[in-house]
Amino acid sequence: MDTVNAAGVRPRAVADAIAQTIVGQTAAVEALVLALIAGGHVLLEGAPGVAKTLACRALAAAIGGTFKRIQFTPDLLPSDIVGTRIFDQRSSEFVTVRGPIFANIVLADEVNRAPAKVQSALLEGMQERRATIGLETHDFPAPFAVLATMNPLDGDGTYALPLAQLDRFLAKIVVDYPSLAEEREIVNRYGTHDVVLRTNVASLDDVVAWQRGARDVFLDERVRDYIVDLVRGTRGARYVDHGASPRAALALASLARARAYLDDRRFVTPDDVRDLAPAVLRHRLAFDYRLVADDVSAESVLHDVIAGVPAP
Amino acid sequence: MAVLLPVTARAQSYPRLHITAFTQQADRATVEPDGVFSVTIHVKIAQRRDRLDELILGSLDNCEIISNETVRTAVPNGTDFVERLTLQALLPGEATISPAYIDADDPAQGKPMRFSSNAIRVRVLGSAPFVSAMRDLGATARRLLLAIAIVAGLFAAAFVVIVLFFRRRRRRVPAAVTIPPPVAPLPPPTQPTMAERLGQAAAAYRRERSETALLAVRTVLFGLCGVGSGATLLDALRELGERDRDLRAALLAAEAAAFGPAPERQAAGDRMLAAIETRVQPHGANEGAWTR
Repeated sequence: MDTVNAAGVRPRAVADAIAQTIVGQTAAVEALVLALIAGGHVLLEGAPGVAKTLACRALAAAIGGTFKRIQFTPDLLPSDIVGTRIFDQRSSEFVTVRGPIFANIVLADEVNRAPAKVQSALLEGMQERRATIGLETHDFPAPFAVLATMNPLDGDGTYALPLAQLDRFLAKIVVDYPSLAEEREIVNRYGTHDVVLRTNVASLDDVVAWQRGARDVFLDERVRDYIVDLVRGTRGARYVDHGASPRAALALASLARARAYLDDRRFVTPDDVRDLAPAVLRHRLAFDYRLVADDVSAESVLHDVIAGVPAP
Repeated sequence: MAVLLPVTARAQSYPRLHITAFTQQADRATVEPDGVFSVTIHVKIAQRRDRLDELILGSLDNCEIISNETVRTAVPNGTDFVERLTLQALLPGEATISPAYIDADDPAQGKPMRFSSNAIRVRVLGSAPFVSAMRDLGATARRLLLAIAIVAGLFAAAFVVIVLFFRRRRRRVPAAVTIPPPVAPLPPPTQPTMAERLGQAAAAYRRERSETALLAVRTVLFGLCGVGSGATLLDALRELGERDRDLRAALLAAEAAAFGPAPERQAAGDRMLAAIETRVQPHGANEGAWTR
């Protein structure tokens, strides 16, 4: 296939660097890189200890960016995320103290453990890519990506994210347990040694250039129609109460372009769309009571919707 | 005409009524069949009352009620109730209305009593000329229709028997039929092989670089891998595995020609044709190639 002009560091190098730190989780690692290229935010869902946090740290290290981790708790305040103004006694002036959201890669750990006003502060920053502290508005550094984690097993004391806020995440990645061989390798590799992160594989400027380059990837009309058909197919599907919004179609097109760019292709193929559709759509659907009554999994419903739309 | 015939009523709670008159009277003694006549029931009590629900009408024989009307009149020494029935006589003979009655405590005797009126008999004259004439006419018409139906049925049955008889006779006569010469069966249509279909599709695409022609080639290439429409390149490559590099190259080029940027589609199409031509030769030289 046609390839993109490969001048400079390619994003595949970042994925490979992370893969050297993270054993397995190939799909999750690739999804993180794709979201970085697409300029979106990612929701990571997985049991504790499956390397969600480590993957985010490895990504930040690989692109030489700043990394901040915010542990979401019920007593967290919006100012704990965005920052505040404090009085400096030496200068007798109020000075701005920026919060941890001012970083290239922000890990919002267990995002569903904070109340709605804190979630809103984070999600507003995700959307606007800037924050207002006092009277001053400060832009976030570029590139900027929020990687939020959710633990699906422990629901006590959590605040469910509303659909409108979930919709702002470009993709939701399910991080599964590693395979037997991968788990053995994890014990071998990190049983006696600390984790080593590969740093500065690419620069922040490279990432910004990738984001610009991905927007130039060609999207054929038939592939565009396939995207729209998939998104529309979620509306009115069996067990689905509310389907995906047009923002989902934009997200799928954006992520598909990133995938083509990652694979050094100038155009999006139907395979890009079909492979990425679950990640883009799974957190944007609201299911009705019959899903539970009939003991059907949400993933199988989504799979049926995707399988029901023929590729061009 | 009997008036006020009190007899002992069954013991139960009855209203205390001082009945001083209780009569039943027809407005005529004779009536035509279906003719209308009226009967007036008059009850007089020595009390002030608004209603007289205790009045039970007698049973009717050979007549039926068309309407009834109750008139109450307050008089100086009590209340008059007049029940007027409008009746229709039915058949010649006699129409009878049995006595109406009221069950009440008789203050004179201090016990429950049944007060009854007189009965009424009205003579219904012999059959009315018009009605009987109509009845006779109806019966005659029915008999006539039955006769006509029987005769028509007999004619229809005879007609069917005759027709069947002649048709059966006609079949028995052998007809001279010209037998056409036997026609040789057509050879079964031959299905083109996948390789032939690919050659034809590629030739069509070479003649006209249209999107339709390209998609036809891509569909045949997918078919060679064993996947149908609605599948993707990845599906086709998975099915193909590592067994055919030329087909793989043709598939990849077809994908670029189908979905790539417009300026690059021509070159991708050329690569696809080149990959196909290495295996698909004209004039049947592709024996054994892509014959899946």
